Amino acid sequence: MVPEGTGKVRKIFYFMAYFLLAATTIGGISIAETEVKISARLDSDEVPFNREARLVVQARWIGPANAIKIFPIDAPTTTNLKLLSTSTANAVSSENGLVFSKREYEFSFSGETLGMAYIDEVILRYHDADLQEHVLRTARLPLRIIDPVAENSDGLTLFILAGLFILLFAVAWTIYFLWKKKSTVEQESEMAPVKSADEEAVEDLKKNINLQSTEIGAQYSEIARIMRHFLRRRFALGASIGTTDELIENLTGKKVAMEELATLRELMQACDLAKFSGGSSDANQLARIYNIALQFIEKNKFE
Amino acid sequence: MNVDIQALNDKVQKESAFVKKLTEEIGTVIVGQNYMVERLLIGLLSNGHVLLEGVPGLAKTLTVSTLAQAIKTKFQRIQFTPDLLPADLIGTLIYDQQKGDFTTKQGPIFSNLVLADEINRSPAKVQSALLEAMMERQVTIGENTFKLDDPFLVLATQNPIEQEGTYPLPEAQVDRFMLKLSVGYPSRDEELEIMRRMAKGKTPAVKAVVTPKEIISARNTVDEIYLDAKIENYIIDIVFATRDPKKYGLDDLTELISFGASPRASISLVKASKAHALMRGRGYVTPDDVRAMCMDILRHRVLVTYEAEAEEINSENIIQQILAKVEVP
Repeated sequence: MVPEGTGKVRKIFYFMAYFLLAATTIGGISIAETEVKISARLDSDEVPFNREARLVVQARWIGPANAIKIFPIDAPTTTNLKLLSTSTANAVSSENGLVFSKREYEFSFSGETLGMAYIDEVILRYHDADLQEHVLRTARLPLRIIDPVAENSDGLTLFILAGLFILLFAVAWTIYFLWKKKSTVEQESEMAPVKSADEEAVEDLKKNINLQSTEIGAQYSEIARIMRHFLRRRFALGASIGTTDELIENLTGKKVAMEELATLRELMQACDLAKFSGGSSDANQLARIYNIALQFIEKNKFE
Repeated sequence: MNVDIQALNDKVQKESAFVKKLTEEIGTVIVGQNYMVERLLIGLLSNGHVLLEGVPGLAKTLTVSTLAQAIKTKFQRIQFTPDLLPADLIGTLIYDQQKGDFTTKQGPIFSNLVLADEINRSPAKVQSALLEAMMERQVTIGENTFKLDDPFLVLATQNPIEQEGTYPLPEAQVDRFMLKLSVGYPSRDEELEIMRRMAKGKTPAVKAVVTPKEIISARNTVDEIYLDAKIENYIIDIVFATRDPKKYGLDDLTELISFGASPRASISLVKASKAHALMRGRGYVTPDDVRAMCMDILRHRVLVTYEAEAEEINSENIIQQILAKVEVP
């Protein structure tokens, strides 16, 4: 290693250099050989039956995340526990110029029965930079499954249920109230006597027509209105049937005798004359027309 | 206003006596078509021109010519074609070589009854010339203005089918016709009678039973017929309902009407209703007269929207809804 004929000082220098190189090499091997540490921990030693137990397995090493290749790990074998879910997370940090990498595996379990439960070892396999395989194992962990705890949401659920019940009750009561009110109105209207078309027409004629009135034109108009209303009700004519010709045309063939139709035409035309001719209406004629109207209603009342 | 309605009724019945004679005389040639005949008479009495729409072969031309013969008036039939010129209608100036001056040759429009057959086959220029004469009742040829005879009535026809190659009358021009009649087919019995009459080969001769003077006198009486304020308001309500249907509780029609009837419709409805009352022997107008004339007065004046056309709703449907809704006085 040290060339022949080298002086003492140079020998010391060479030794120091070799030493440094060796140290570096050794350190490099130390650095090249990434050490992975594994740990496993539970949230608690005991867990209520209606709660989940969480196991976190952590693998950490100095160096970048890709310094080692970790093989997928299997969920640990358990006793009296049921695996609910798994998840994995990676983290990288640096401190004082060194890179620290971490991978965490999280397992959630729920107890199958009250009593002791066990989580067996978790086996972690990885390759280092030299593709050397390494195996790490965690310790077996005990866990006690204890009695379930009261649910915090029970109170909220009760409150919601109570609110729903009150709302349903309010809706049902409102529907009942409206139905009762409607029934009362229908009952009242059923009890109230419904006048027939002819009864209504005769009553209107006797109440509204004043044969002594000086406003003769207005009396004729009122007679025409009452007769039109009677005819529409009695013979189920449409509201659009309004003129004298339309009334006569629509009544033809509706069990109204031809003589009666002729009488009706005379009556309505007399009213038209008074309404639309602008001349002075015949007061004597008014009484006659009034009586014709009453007779027509009498002869054509609903049997 | 105190109207001597009895005197007016008597006058009306006297003046309208010719209506029955005229109708019967026309009936010797024309079978059925009572609606068309009556409306033509109303046009004559209210001094309003008539647009007849119907398929060929419904005796439109024959009715008009028979009417002309029965009234003892001059009648001219003008077949409108795409190559017709205004001069063919109203006349022109012709150079007289002997006199060395231009003389006026009056066109066929110088007649009492003018039948403009298939008016929509002529270009707008010819239609305008006719319509101008209809409104002004005079024609200008060169420097001279010639008044048209009285009575002067234009009866135009349109074929509702075969619209290709036609020049449809614009709405503004159609509005100048007082009435638009939709002429329909005769009934089965009427058609049987038509066949039997025409099979004989000879058309009966028509006697003149009315003179133009009587028509003019009757027309003056029509103007005197009493129109109550309630009827006036009824007419206004109907016409306004075509312009603002929402105001009359016809909200559904708002989207269907693009343009309502013009004031010309109100005027025409008044005149036609009066003429209708005269033909019924009454000296006053009733709602029956108004409703009887509404369709013929308004069907060509109410324009519908595309939405209405898409729903196959025409102006007649709209008018029926308006009449059903507007309260009868």
